[in-house]
Amino acid sequence: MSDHHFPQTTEPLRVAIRRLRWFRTAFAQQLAEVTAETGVRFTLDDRKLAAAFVQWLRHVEAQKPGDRTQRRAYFDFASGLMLRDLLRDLPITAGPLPLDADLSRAEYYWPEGFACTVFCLNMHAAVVEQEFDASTTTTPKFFDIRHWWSFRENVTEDANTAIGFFDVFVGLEPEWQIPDSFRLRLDRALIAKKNAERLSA
Amino acid sequence: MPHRPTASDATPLKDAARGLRFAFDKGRATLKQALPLSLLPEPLAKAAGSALAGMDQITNAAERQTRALARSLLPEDTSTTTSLDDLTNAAGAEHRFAAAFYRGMQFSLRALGVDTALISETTASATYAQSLQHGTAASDTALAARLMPALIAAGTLRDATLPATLDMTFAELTRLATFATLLALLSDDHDLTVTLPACANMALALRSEIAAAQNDEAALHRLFDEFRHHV
Repeated sequence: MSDHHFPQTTEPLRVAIRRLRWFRTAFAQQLAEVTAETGVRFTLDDRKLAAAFVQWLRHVEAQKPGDRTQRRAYFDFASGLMLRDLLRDLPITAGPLPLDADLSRAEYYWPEGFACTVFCLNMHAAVVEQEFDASTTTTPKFFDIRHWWSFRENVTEDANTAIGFFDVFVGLEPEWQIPDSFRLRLDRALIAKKNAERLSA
Repeated sequence: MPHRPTASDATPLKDAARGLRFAFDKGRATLKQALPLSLLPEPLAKAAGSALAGMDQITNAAERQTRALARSLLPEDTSTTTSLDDLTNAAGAEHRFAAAFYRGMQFSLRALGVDTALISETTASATYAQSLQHGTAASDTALAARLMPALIAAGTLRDATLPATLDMTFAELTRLATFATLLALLSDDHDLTVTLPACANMALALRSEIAAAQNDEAALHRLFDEFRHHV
């Protein structure tokens, strides 16, 4: 996975990413980087990408918290939602794999899923760095093909599970029951924190 | 004293030139479809080919003359950088709006997959002027919401050649192209060549809501407000 290179913008990334044109350019640029690293080419369907963007935008705008202390959790959540909407509409199609492609590697096992996930992870890392001056890490599970088997199978049945897998890849506690609710996510986090405090008291 | 054309009279002339070109292009396409030259025996094929070429020359000459006359009365505004707010506050707003709307519709239709269409700049100009007779709109998005049903009802998009692969009716094409054009005129970037492909894709993503809104200005106003800063 490459460092996060995104198109230049005079706006904060959290604003730029909510503009379809910049979003499209950033996504296409990431695809080109994945292609350069893996040899897998992608065809991008602009109409499907716009549909995924509109869905994502509406969900993140509707669940934007009023409390500024929840911003970091909200950015984590918004990145997982982005992955869900990209995987649900799947605006890309991978071309043929290189002859020496190793199918035990995620980028060849599920090229479309890998490319969308890399985009969301890099976008998340870039926004977190810009907004919070913090770095993010990718857990070893991201590199474990067994997680990708489960990821692909679950997302095919229910796209919402992509949010949980995104959390797993960035080292957050996943919410599997109703993953697309930011409010529920916060409530669960609060309960977990209280339980931990009670145990340590 | 004979009537001397004013600058605004040039718009119908431009429309006439475009109408001539559209009618010829459509007629030629229909003729070619109905009568494939490659299947005609000689010398019939040669005669039919010459007739078509002759018609093309006559149309080109007529189009050139009409356009030249229009240009002599009113220099053609080919700028692609504009916004609804700027247009509203300028002198001759209806003509400037109509010219921008015409160009925007061309880009929108192309982005939606339609290359040949007849758009009436005269109708767009008249519709804009009529819309403002009901009073000034509270905002540019409110004006766009007022204009959209009026532009559609007035038949601003007169006709279009729909490719067989297009998955929509002429009525839906009109709705989506009009929405996309107005959204582009509201967006933060005022370069229509850059914004319209994105606006057209956004209109497609919202096609069921745009269809449901029909003439509901409040619903259209909400959509324009929701998406104008996200192009």
